[in-house]
Amino acid sequence: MAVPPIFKLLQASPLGKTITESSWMFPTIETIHVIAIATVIGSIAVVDLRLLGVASKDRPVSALTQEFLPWTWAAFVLAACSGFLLFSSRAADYMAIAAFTTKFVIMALAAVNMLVFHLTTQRSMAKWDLGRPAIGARIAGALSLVLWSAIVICGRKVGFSL
Amino acid sequence: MNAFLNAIDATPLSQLLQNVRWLIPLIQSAHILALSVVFVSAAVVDLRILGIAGQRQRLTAVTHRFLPWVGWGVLVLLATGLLLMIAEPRRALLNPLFQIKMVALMLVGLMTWTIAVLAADKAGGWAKLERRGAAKPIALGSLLLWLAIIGLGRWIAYA
Repeated sequence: MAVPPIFKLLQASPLGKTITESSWMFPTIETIHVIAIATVIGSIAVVDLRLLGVASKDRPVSALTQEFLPWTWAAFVLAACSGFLLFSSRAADYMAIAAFTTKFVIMALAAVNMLVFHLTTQRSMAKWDLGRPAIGARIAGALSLVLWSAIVICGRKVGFSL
Repeated sequence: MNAFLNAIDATPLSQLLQNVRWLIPLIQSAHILALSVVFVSAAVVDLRILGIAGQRQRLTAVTHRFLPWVGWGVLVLLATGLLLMIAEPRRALLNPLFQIKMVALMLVGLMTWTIAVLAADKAGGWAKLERRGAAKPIALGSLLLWLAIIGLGRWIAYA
């Protein structure tokens, strides 16, 4: 399947070309991207491990989500912005890599997982905020860890491919 | 040195890692997942000391909960890092950035160990550190070093 022209345009745009032609921009933006994703993954892991009942068992789930998720969101925004800049430098080339598009599919799944948890199990959180988490919470936590690990693997495969 | 690098390069393990294309990215992914756990765990402790987050928790509760993850996470980082070194010995050992990264790692290890020991000290070791005005600089230094280590790790690929 041919890559839609808009990605070739992005790659050839002043933004895309400036990043490609610079000796330091791509590595610097990539470093920011890695720091951002490390923060996303690490903070999500704290909450997921609590949902699984593996860590921070003595603290209410609600307290952990309130403390950590704002950092997750802020880091995600940073990851998305830095990611877009990286993407723009070789947009058409990236779109041709299966692992790249797969990464976003899995991210969508992670979002769905989060949404389902938020709309269902989290509603009854007062009952299991302390003590053993509800089965829905444990499933959501486990799925989240697996999905985000897969996202990292896809991301690394992309970096390795170009 | 060259003979040493060639020797590593020639080992069955190194050859395996170089020839099975998906192994190096997979090990790098494990390295990234481990660094995520280490970085956030260390940051939680550092931010608590800096008074930026987690103030409602006692310091000892925070260190007790998160520093073990730093410790075990660093072991995973060292193991995966060693495998990556064996896979590409020149890239690691001949690169000054890698050497700086290892020095930074030792430094942050020392700082983390200091925090761990003094925070748990029942004889007021932590209070002494705070009175000397050293607690927050150590926490800030630790945070900056971890960021630098991540950056150096990435730049090895480019320099």
